Amino acid sequence: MSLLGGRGHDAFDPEAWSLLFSEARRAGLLARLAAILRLDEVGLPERLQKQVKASLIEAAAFQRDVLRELEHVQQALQGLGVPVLLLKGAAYVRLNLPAARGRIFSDIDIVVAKESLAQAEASLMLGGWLTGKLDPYDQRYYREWSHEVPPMTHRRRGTTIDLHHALVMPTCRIRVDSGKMIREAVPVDGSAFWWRLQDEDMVLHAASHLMFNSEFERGLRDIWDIDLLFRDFASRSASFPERLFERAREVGLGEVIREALRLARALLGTPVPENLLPGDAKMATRLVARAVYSRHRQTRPAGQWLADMLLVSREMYLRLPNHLLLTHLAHKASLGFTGTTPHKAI
Amino acid sequence: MLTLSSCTSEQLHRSLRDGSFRLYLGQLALKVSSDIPEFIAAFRQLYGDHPVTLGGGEYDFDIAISAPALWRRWLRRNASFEFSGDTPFLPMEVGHAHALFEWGLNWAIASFLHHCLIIHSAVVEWQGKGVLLSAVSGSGKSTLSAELSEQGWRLLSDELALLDSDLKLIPLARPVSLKNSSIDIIRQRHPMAVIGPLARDTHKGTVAHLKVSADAVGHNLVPAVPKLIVFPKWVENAPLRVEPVGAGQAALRLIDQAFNYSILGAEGFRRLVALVRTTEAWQIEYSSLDEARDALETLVAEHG
Repeated sequence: MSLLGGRGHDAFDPEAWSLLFSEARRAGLLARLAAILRLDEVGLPERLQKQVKASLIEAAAFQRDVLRELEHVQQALQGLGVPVLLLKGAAYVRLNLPAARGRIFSDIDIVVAKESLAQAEASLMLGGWLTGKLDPYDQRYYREWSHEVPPMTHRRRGTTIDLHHALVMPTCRIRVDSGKMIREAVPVDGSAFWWRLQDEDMVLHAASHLMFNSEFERGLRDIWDIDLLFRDFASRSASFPERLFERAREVGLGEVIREALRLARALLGTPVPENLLPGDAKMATRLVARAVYSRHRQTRPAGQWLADMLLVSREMYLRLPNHLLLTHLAHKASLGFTGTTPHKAI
Repeated sequence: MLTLSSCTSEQLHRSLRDGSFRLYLGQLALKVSSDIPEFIAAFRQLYGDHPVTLGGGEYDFDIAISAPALWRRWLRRNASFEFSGDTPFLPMEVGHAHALFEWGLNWAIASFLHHCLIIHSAVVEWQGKGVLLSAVSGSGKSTLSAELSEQGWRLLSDELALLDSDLKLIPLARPVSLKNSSIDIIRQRHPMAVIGPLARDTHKGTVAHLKVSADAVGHNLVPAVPKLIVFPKWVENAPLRVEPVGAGQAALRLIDQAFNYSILGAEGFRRLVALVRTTEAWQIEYSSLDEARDALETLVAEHG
């Protein structure tokens, strides 16, 4: 498997496995690694087996919780009689796709039509999901310029819903017809309530999430999602790769999907035919590769911090028009620019 | 096996710096790295009897106590807890680094060891019988387990009960965390006890750590069979009260104190039910540590 650099399991000594697990934990990917490589069956030393088992138990809990949470969301929104579109992790779990395996996440992303947004938000509030306290600036940023209402957290269960009315930022510099992707969504099998993006659009959405977001800590997971989705859909239909590129051109994500798949092919050996996608990644994509690579002290690439900074700037540039970009940066600078916010107490 | 106290200072510093140091905490192997002298001194004092190796090898957790990023370094010298290269908590001043290590390790165990049901509880053993001392913070659980450990009970943990799929308690003997007045209580009652440096003004007040006996460390690979669940509560001037607790009630109270009950799902429920069915549960209220110890020894003898 190209993940292990083409080597078999026995090419790793126990210390190398420990380092791999440590890196994977850092990236939130230990359970994904365990599930995809079937690490519970390859005869690892006992200490490593226990870590594999523990990570799979945790991943199973996340999936169970997501499925249960979806039932609660359905109860809260069913009365509205509007279609509810599932995105990303929640969709993978509900559809039982390979991309759901070992995926650790708890936020649920859903989309409703813009005209139903206020009603949906009100129904979720009645169901117990509340918007956390935001300062007035963040509140306005979300409401006016973002494609979601502020995250809503359930007051008892602590679960979070991101309620969207579009797929990508409405102010984004690349013209993306995300409306078309939403309009052409299809019902989830056996459900009169949940909807999902078409196969092609699921991959496109995952790719745009990777290329427009500066959450590099999760970048490797996003690339892996793209890889698993692509492999799964391509194995079901031989014409999938062609349809994917055709669809990408239609909705304005041609460049985005090419770069995302070049990354996935370079890092994970995603089987994208060379005739459909010739060549190597561009400069910006190479920066992404550097940023999403191991962030572990022992193995991270040189200059990762620089790649991070360049990409954050690029992402902001792509997301927001100039006047908003300046206001946004000035506001964030006045708060102090920090990459992460660690917890205070233990 | 090599123990920490038998390493030379030079060996230890080199190994903690080049990534080859491993500390064995029962079944757990920790890769520990540090270049902070205050931490290394306290670590050496409190973990002196623990087995270590200096030649690398596999590990469960990758922990570093290190100087934080440049932009957090102003005003005073700080130390960060790094886990797999990530810093999940804010740095603390270097004098608190050993306390940060203990808290960080508790967090790591509670966050990742899901092959065990993890309950917020001290675990001790008397005459081969495992006892869970489960209580909310501030009810004197750590003081009581420190006292028992100094009186010859075997300590498995002062904070975390790890119940594996065979319903055995996995030992994790390591320094006991004492807070505020309990530090002086243990010091006065046991003048020979080894207590590490004081960390003052932490978010839990003043904290110090009691080194556990070499015997407890020596038994760290021998699981204990749970026989009693005790809910202890220290109440100033209160007369001793010992009362039985029903199995259902005990299960509910343990669920409340479990870190990963919901993560284990149905298996968590099954394991907890099996635990309360094979043990007896009691609650004791006490003001005197001597009376509490006597009561516990009687409970183990008659009901364990």
